Amino acid sequence: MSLVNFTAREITCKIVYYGPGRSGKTTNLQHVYGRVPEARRGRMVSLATQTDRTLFFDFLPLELGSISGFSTKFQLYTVPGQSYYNATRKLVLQGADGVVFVADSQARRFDDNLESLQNLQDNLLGQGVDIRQLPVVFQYNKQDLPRDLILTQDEMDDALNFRAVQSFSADALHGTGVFETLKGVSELVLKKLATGSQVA
Amino acid sequence: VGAAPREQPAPTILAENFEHELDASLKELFGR
Repeated sequence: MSLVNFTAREITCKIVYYGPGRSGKTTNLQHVYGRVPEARRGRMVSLATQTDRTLFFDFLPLELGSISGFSTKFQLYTVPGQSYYNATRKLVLQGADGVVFVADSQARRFDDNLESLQNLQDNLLGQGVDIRQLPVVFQYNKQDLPRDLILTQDEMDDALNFRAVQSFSADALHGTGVFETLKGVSELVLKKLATGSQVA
Repeated sequence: VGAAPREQPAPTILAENFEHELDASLKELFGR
């Protein structure tokens, strides 16, 4: 839930990167971490297994600077994608102001994407949140892979993006689409905040 | 008996052009 502190003139928003295992959620945060000057970001916290799978979550605090006179901070989180970590996903999802659904564009991961999207909807519903009321964007990652292995952005939209929200083609490993995705979800989150804020 | 309180519009905390400020902030952040 966004926090607006009028005394300190601060806004803090929580954005969660959601999606199936190995879709590139952590890679998104790693790219952001690598691009942003040290003074504008906190330490990236990652809890990974020995094989680099996210065990608990990744966390990256960002200082966007002043927006409309408010010092604006974003907290970026990822969830563990593997199906048996649902309790952790629920915890991380709590209070999210916006979600980036990172889908794996490989055709063979089609069912994993659908299952994870359904899991997102279920977990939000469990917290009393209708996904239609939450700022959500899609990122179709790994679009750099050979065409015969992946679905195009249009095909991914047809398969997953029933609400026709913003979607972004990406190759997070090389940074393509990472900035655009973050910008897309940030705009939605702040737009929503502009019309109905939580005051701290 | 006082008049019923009128419904207040939701507070607008961000300026209308916040998208431009956000865009500039993110571009600066990413060194673009």
